[in-house]
Formats: sequence, C-alpha cells, structure tokens
Amino acid sequence: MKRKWLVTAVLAVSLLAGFGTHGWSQSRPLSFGVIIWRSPTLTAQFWNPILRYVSERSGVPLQLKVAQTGTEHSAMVRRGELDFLYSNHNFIKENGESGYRVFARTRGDAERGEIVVLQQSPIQSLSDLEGKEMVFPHAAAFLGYHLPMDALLRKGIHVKPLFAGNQEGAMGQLKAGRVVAAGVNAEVMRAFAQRENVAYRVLWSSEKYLSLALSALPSVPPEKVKAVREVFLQMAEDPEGAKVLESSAAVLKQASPLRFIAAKDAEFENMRRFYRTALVKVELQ
Amino acid sequence: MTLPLGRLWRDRFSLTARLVLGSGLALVGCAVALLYFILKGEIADHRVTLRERLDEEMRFAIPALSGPAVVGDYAVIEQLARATARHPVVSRFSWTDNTGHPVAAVGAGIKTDAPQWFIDWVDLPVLEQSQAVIVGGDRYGTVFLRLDPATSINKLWHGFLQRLGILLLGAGVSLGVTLVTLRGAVQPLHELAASARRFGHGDYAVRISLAGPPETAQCIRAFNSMAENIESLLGSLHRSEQKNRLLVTQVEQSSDAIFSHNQNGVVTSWNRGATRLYGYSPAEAIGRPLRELDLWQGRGPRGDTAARGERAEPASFEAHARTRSGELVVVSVVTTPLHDEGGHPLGELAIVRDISSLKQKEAAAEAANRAKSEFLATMSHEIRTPMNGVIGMTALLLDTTLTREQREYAETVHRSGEALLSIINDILDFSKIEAGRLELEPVPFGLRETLGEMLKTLGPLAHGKGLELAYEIRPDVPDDLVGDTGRLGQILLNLVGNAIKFTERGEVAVRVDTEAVTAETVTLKVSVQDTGIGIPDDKRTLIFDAFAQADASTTRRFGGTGLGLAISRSLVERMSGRIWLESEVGRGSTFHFAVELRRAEQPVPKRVAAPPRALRGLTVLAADDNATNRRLLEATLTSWGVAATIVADGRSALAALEQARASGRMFRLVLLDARMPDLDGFAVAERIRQEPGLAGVIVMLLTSDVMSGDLARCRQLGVARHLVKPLSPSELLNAVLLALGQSPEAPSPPAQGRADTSPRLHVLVAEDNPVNQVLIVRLLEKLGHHSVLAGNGEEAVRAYETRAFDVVLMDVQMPVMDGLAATAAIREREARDPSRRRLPIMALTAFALRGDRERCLAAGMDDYLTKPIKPDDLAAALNRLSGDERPAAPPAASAASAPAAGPGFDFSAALSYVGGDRALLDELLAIFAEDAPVRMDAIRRAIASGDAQELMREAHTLKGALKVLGAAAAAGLAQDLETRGGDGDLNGAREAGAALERAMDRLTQELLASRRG
Repeated sequence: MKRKWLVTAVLAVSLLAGFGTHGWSQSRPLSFGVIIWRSPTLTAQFWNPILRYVSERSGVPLQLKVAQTGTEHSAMVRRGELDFLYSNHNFIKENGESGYRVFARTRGDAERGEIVVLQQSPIQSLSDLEGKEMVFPHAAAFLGYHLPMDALLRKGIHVKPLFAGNQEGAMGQLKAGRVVAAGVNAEVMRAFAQRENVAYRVLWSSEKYLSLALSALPSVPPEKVKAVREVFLQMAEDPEGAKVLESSAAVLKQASPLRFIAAKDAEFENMRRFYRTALVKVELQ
Repeated sequence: MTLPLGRLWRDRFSLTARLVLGSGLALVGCAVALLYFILKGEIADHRVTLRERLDEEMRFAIPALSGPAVVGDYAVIEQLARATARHPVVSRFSWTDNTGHPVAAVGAGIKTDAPQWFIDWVDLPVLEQSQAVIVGGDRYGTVFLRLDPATSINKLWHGFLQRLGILLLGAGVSLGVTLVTLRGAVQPLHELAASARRFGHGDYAVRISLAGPPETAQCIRAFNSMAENIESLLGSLHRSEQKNRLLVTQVEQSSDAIFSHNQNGVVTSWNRGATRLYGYSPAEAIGRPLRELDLWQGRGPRGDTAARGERAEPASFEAHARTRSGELVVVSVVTTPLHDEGGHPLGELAIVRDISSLKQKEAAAEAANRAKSEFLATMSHEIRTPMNGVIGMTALLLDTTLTREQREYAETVHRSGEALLSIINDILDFSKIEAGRLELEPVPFGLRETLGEMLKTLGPLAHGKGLELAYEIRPDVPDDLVGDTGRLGQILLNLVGNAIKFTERGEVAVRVDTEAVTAETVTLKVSVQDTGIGIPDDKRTLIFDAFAQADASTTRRFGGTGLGLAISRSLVERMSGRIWLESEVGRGSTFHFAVELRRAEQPVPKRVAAPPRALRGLTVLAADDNATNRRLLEATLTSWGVAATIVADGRSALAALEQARASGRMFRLVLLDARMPDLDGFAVAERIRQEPGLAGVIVMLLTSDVMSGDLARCRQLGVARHLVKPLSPSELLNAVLLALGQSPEAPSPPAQGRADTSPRLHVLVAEDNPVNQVLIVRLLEKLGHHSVLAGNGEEAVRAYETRAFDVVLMDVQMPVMDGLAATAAIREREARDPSRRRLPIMALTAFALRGDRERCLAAGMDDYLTKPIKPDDLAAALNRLSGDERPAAPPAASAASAPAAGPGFDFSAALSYVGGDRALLDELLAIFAEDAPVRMDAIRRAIASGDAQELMREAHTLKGALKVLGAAAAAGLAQDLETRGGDGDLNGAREAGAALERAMDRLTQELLASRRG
C-alpha cells in the first residue's frame, strides 16, 4: 500500500516536472534535493531557511526534497527527479547517467583518507593487517572507509571490518587498542590525536578529494542555475544571508556556517574515477 | 408543627434522640462537605490533568509528525494518528497537509457511567487543540487533537460512589454505637430519676446500684451520697427534735422555775414551775419586764442587778422570791447568760428553786450538829476529867509507900489509864476529823532538830526490841519550815510506832527528802521503812481506813485502835498531801507521806548554832555497820566541813587509822558504833588505846542500846563521849564539841531551878473535881507555888475579891458558875476598878475542839491548858502568864525532847526535881547508870543470901535514886523490896527482884537515851 502510494507520488512528481520544463517553470518550484543529515526534520530545519533565502533572492522558487533514506536519495538522483542537488550521489558509477553538473561547492580543502595505527603498534605495513580486525566510521564514509578499504582490496589484503558508527568512535576504539588499525579522515584524525594526545603512524594515505557539490540537472534553464548559483556564492557576503547560514549552522551545532564557493565539474573528476573503478562496495549516506 | 422547632427539640426529644439526630446531622453535614471538597479537588485535578494531557499529546505529536511530514511519509503519519487515538482520553486525532489532504483517526469513544446531573455538576469540557507543523520555517500541515472527559467523569463518579458508601457506612456504625452506648448510659439515669422520685416521696432508704459509664456512676454515687447525707441529717434532725422535745418537756415539767429574759430584761420564756412558784401564768409573765414582776428580793451577791437584767456572768445566789400574792419564799437562783452562735448576748436564763423547806432542814441539821459537837465536847470533858484524875492520882499513888501487890495494881491502873487516854485521844481526834473541825496550827520550826526530837522519844521503844532506829534527812532539804509540828509529829510517831510495833528484828529507818522545792514552799517526802512483817497487797488500801488493820488478829496481837493510820491519812490530806505505802510480806514495809509546807520567812532559832569554824578540816573517822547510819553520819559530818572517812566495820576502821598514821595524817576524832559484827566499837577503842601512836585520838561511842557495864568500859577505855542513837545533828555536834574540849554554842543554857529563879506565885485554882484539885495543888507545890482552891466559879470570884493572886487556873466546866462566867465576872470587876492590874487567867479544860480555845479567849482568858495537865506544860504556862518571858524549860527541851513516859521513868519529874538543870541531871544519870548495876548486884546477892537488912538498905538507896529520877515504877519495885527487907519477909523477894531487874534494864536504856534528850 505504501509502495503503491509512493509510486503514485513519484509518477505525479515526474509528470509535474515534465510539465515544468514545458512552460510552467515560472510557477512550479524547482526541487532541491539534499542528502539526509541526521534526520529529515533536522535536514529540513537546516535547509528550508537557506532555500527560502535563495528562492527570494534568486527569484527561482526552490522546494526542499528530503528522501527517507540514502538509497532513496540515490534513486531519486539516478532518476533525475531533483532539479538541484547538494550531494555526492551524482558521482557514483550507477548515477553517472543523470548528467548533473556541478556549479558550486562548500568551501573547504580537499581531504585524504588514511589507514593509521598507534605509534607503538607492531603493524608496520598494510600487509601486516592481513586477517586483522580494522575499524571504520561506517560503510558510507568516503574518506574513512571507501578509500582505505579499496586500497587494501587492491593490495589483496583482507581485513575484518568493524564499524564504529562515526569517526570519533573509530578513533576511540583505536586508542583503546581494541583494533590494530583504523580507516580515518586524515584531518579529523590529526585533530583527534592532538586533542587526545595520541601518537599514531599512517600506514597508508589517499590522494585528496573534495566533499559535496551543488549541482543542477542539465534540464534546468541555465539562467535559473546561474541566478541560484549567484545567490549561493554571495550568500555569506550578504549580512542577511550570513545570518541565515549561521542560524542553520546552529541547528546542527556546526562550528562554522556553510560557505559556498564556485566549483567546476572537473574538480570532482578524481571522485567520479574512484567510484568507477572502486573494488569496494560503495554505499552512500 | 404548631410547636416551634426549638421548643420541640427541648420538650419532645429525648437525650438519645437528640444525640442521634445531632450527631447524625453533624456526620451527614461533615460527609457532604467532605465529599464536596474532595470531588471539587478531584475535578480540578482532572481538569488540569486533561489540559496537561492535551498539551503533552500535542508536544509529542508535533515533533513526531515533523519528520514524516518533511519526507511526506503519510503512512507513518496515519500510524501515529491511530496510535494516539487508541488512548481512551483521545476522541480524535487528525493531520491535514498544506493541500488539505486529511489523515485522521477517531478514538474508541468511552461511555460515561455517571448520571447526567453529575456530568453537568462536574462540568468537565471536551478539550480540542489544533496546531500547524512548521519545520525550518515552512508549514507542512496542521495537527488536530480532541480529548474526551468521559474517562475522568467515570473515575470521579466511581470515586464519589465509593466515598459515599464509606461515609454512609461510617455514619451508620457511629450512630449505632452512639445509640447502644447511650442506651447503656441512659438506663441508669432513668433509674436515678425513678429513685429520686421515690426519695422525694419519702423513701429515704432508696439507693441505686452502680451501673453505666463513669459519668453516670458518678451521678449515682453523688445521689447515693446525697441520700445518705439527707437520711443522716433527717435522722439527726429527728433525734434533735426528740431531744428538743424532751428538753422542752423537762424544762416545762421541771419543778424549778425556769425562765429567760432578753437583753432589755423582758421575759421571753416561762415554764410551769415558774407559774407554780410565782403564780404568774406564762401569758402574764412573757413580754413583761423583770423589774415589773419583781421576781426576787436581792439577797445574793448580785440579786439587785439580776432584776434589772444587767448581768453577763453566770451567777448563783440565794434570794427571797416575791410571789404574785406578795409572799416571800426563800429560793436559790442560778442565772446563766445566753449567747447566740456568734457569741452576742441574747439575755439570760434563770433557774429558781424553792429552798424554804431545805433551809428549814439545814437549820435543823445545823442545830443537830451543834448539839453533837456540844455532846462531843461534853463527853470529852466528862471522860478526860476522870481519866486525868485516874492517871494523875495513880501517879501520885505510886509515889507513896505501897505494898507490892498494891503497887502492881496501881501500876496496872496507871498503864491502863494511859492506854485508855491514848485511845480516847485517837477517837476524839478522829471525831474531830470526821466532823471536819480539825484545824492546823502552823508554826515555824527547824526540821532537823524537830525530827530528831520526835524520833528520840521512840528510841527506847525501838531499842527495847533490839531494833536500830535511824533517820536521814537529805542535805538539800530546807530546814526552816512552817507547819503544825504537833500534827506532823503525830503522823511520824504513828508510822514509826507502827513500824517498831510490827518489826521483830532489823531496823526502822526514816528518810526525809523533797519532792518539789520553790521559793515559798517545800513538798516534803517522809519515808518510814521497816524490816517487819509486811502488809499483803489486798490490805494496803484497807489499812488506811478507820478501825482497820491488816488482819483482825493484828489487833489482838499488837493492840491499838486501828485509828492511827486513818488519822494519819486524814492529817496528811488535811495538809494537802498524800500517804501511801510499799510493802512486801515478810520483808518489810515503807510508808511514805508527802506534804507541802511553807518555808519560814525568818530562820528558826536553833538550840545549836552552826558548827564553829574549828570543825572545818577536822579529820574524823566513823565506823558503823548500818548503812543508813553511815549515810546520816556522812551527811552530817560533811555538812560541818569535816573531812570524814566512813567505814562499815571495826577492821576497816583500824585499817583506816593505820593508813592515816602511816601517811602522817592522823584522825583527831573516831566515832565508833558500839555494836558491830566481828570487831565491835569497844574492841576498836581498846586497840586504839593500846597503840601509843594513836594516843591523841579522841574516841566516841555510838550505841543503840546500853548493856550493863558499858559505861564502865567506856570510862576504862578512855572513850570521850558515849551517845545513844538515834542522834540528832545538834546532839552530835554538841557531843563532838564537848569531846574536843570546846563549848557548845547552845544559845540558851538549861533552865535554872524554878525555885531559885521563878517568883513564888499565888495561884487560885478553880476546879470542882476533888481529884484534880489535889493533883493541881501537888503539881503547884512541886513547882514551889502557893495555891488556893475554889470549888466553883462563884467561889473563885469570891476568892479573887478577897485576896490577891498572881494567876488563876480556871476549870471551864464547873457547877454553880462555870469558868467562862467566872472569868467574865473577874474581868468585869477589873474594868470597874482600874487600880487592879489585869489578872492572868488560864483555862483548864478537857475540851478538845479548837473552838473551845477561842471561846475561852473570847471570855477574857489568857491561856489554855488541856487536861490531863502535864507538869511542864503547867510550869511553862505559869511562866508565860506570870510575865516571866524566859521559858521555864525550853519547850523543845521539855516537851519535844522529853521521851514518852516510859513504864517507869518520869523525865519531867526528874527534871523538876533537879530544878530543870539538865547538866546536873545528866551527871546524875551517868552516876546512876554506873551505880545502879552495883546496887542491883548487891540486891541480887542479898536476896540470894537472904540478907533482909542488906536488901532493905540497898533497896532504899536504889529507891531514893529512882525517885529522884522520877522512875516511879522502878522506885515502887525498889520500895517493895525495901518493905520486904524491912519486914524481914523475903518470900517472893526473888520474883520482885527479877521484876526490879527488868524494870532497871528498861530504865537504864531509857535513861541513856534521854541523857542529852
């Protein structure tokens, strides 16, 4: 019954989207899909004020679309149901056909994934990890799991993965000595080691990858994309926009509010490549 | 409902109904109030709870719906709605999205159990609320929630029903218990009410048994107590009424007149006796003033004021009552003031008794008594006068030459006469005491001296029986007293005489002590202890009765009238004293008497003054085996300031002497009892004389009896003085002073012979009795006075007119003219002729009653002599009357110290023979004591050898000596022997000689006893 209802709803939205591209674009709000952060409600509380600001300033009405799960979000990306997107689901191999084009990203340096052991650990090389238990944040973690596990698989090393639930948990288990090695976000690990006074060694390190990107369907009129892109890029500069960003950051208790900068599709090419060649089973949030 | 509610409640509702109704209403009121407030509180709680529930549901629903709303998951929303609506309180939950698409769920819908009125009263509203779901500022839809109060109403209703049930049950139980309790408590109250009604109707004995709770029991107890009190009060009232009635009857029917008057003197009551006595009826008397009735003529002490009703003190007097008819009746009146309870005077009660007949009887009795007294006096005179003649004449007869037989007869008559006189004196004394006419003549006297003299007279009697007679006066007993020495002596002599009489061996001891001493008085306690036969318990009170002795056989055995103790008791009682005795049969008796005597204001002159200073510090050793005597010696010697050592036997005395000599402290004087066991006084004296170291010691012997040859032994042993016990302190002092070569400080030397110093008097003797005439004339002759006889008063007056006399001896009772009339006649003549000097007149009377003396003195007589007349008394009286103030012989020396006339020794005669020269008499007695045994030896030898001449000579010599000494009886016996010797008839001379020896023995003892007496 639920599924039937869902199918009907998706059909209805698709139909409406099709109508939108054919002359109703002015009245029909464009859908803005985001990956779920913690819960749909918190995600809505975070994004609704931002989208309301962007809509008002750009004149392009945007409506938040939050999927029930990551899988559902991925499916919506694959089906091109979302006009705008703040996600990395568009970079995976299965969704390569959706054609979303990156026009901006959140400010921040590209980051690495690492396999680390404690300083005094007898593990000296990745091969030493063969057959050992190793902790990872969770199965959807790009830097903490996808990259390290893929590297191990490529070297033919098999470890028994354990998921701590989040990055802090994985690092804590390593510190406690419950596992011999952990897959981590390099930046986060460094901050943790400094905070907790933990000496560690890096057995393996990935190349640098950017995180999430603002993308738009190719079907969305370029002026609208442009208008939206402009507002996002200027938002932090506008006092009102900055206030909106701060209040949204407060909802998720983020240390610093999001700040959007211009980005090109090519900046995410290494990510698309990874996903195309990855040996690890990719599961996204 | 015509009665107002309050009155209905008061009058109709029983206590039970009131309590049940009252407490029921109160309970219901409380229950309703309680229910109301509980329900109100619960309703408010439910209202708040429902409101809170609504808010809570909404607070939960909004966040719960936000997620599904954001995602658009209607399935979840529907599930949530259904889950919410499943709660009984929720009647509807719905969600409507922005497009108006509804998702709703409806609650089960609870049915309310409560009736509509309860629902209306509770008034719990249906609560509804709708709220938009906004996430991140975007509205996703609206939530609607409705709460149904049915559940709350049902809870409230069921709670209400439960509480109501509990309250109703509680109220029911409470009222039931109240009802039961009240019934239990009220039942006794009903009984109480019924009993009170019965009590009110006169059933005073009704009482209720205790029942019910304590309060009711208390009521019952109070009722019972009240009933008890009332019954008792009624009983008292009844008794009081009876008593009152009796009193009224007694007063009313009293033969005495009893009436009362108030403060104003108005009569307030009047009994039948008063009507009888005065003749006024109560109606006439009551309400009238006493003064008007004039009930008695004041003759009593306050009779005059009585009529005025002014007295406030009880009074008793005699008066003359004036009756209505004016007749005067002799009455005795007793008035008593009447007071109310507060002590305020109400008036007076008078009891008046007609005593006219009583007065008549009294007058008759007085006359009879006077007649009896006259008779007694007459009889006394009539008996004594011939007795005086009998005794006096017998004494004179014995002085004449008589045959032995005649002498025996005469002596028997003399002794019988003396005994009879003693009995008559006792009877007369007793009669006087019985008649209440005995009066005391108190005079100042020195106790120690007087007592010593009194007892000395009994010394020979005691010593004659071989008894020790000792006396002791405690040193702290005052000496100068005022009392009737004659009567005291009578008591003492009686007791001591009895003690001697009833004691065969041992001692008779007199002790004088005090019971109380004040500045004015001394209560003297005198004890006479003997070692005689004793008196059984049952006779102890009897013997003080008249004519009673311990045993009827006693009278036969010991003689006596049996009046002595009765008289003694009466005399002691007359002196406000008492007499009693302690006795043990076979061990002896102690008679005590205590009398209160005044102390003399001035010291009584003593024959012996205080011991001189020379005696102070004198070392004296005294030895006596008798404890009483030792105490006496010690007390006497110590009081002189002498350093006395007292020992109990001869050996101790020698030991003390030896010890003293060894210590260089010699005894100057040694007093030795002649008769001591083991080593007697003579033996001790002999040892002293044999001891050269004791040469300076002066030895004195004390003896109770004088054995033949004692004096010679005394002289031989160099004994300084020989004293016969009992000793008076003064006697001992004199002896000691003489022994020490000092002069006794006696204030007056012994009287000189009357013939030398007293003027020869011309005496008129008025005496009708020829025997007494002769006796008095002889006595006067002996005293060296001239006498003229008159046979009656008339002759006496005539003689007075014809001759001059120095003194008149006037018999009171004489024929023709009695002594009183004759005296009056003489005094009348003296009054007529102022040139005549007043002639002293002495009454001679046998009257024993005190009134006689007054009668004599009233008649103008100057002195008074009771028959039988004693020579000393006569001499002393003559001296007094003739104006010679010096006592012819000091009364103490002549009368008090004179021993009672023994069987053969007339001290007065002896003394008068030597002219009252006591020293000479003593000397003669001493010589006689030594000479008599020699003579008796000679007589014995003469009788034994039948030498009549020798017997006559020796008997004559002895007779002369005996006559000088007044030893009439012994002189008579000697005279008898002399006669026999003269007659040459020696038949019966041996018996006569033995009789003389016995008489001589007695005489020797008497003489020794009286040497310094």
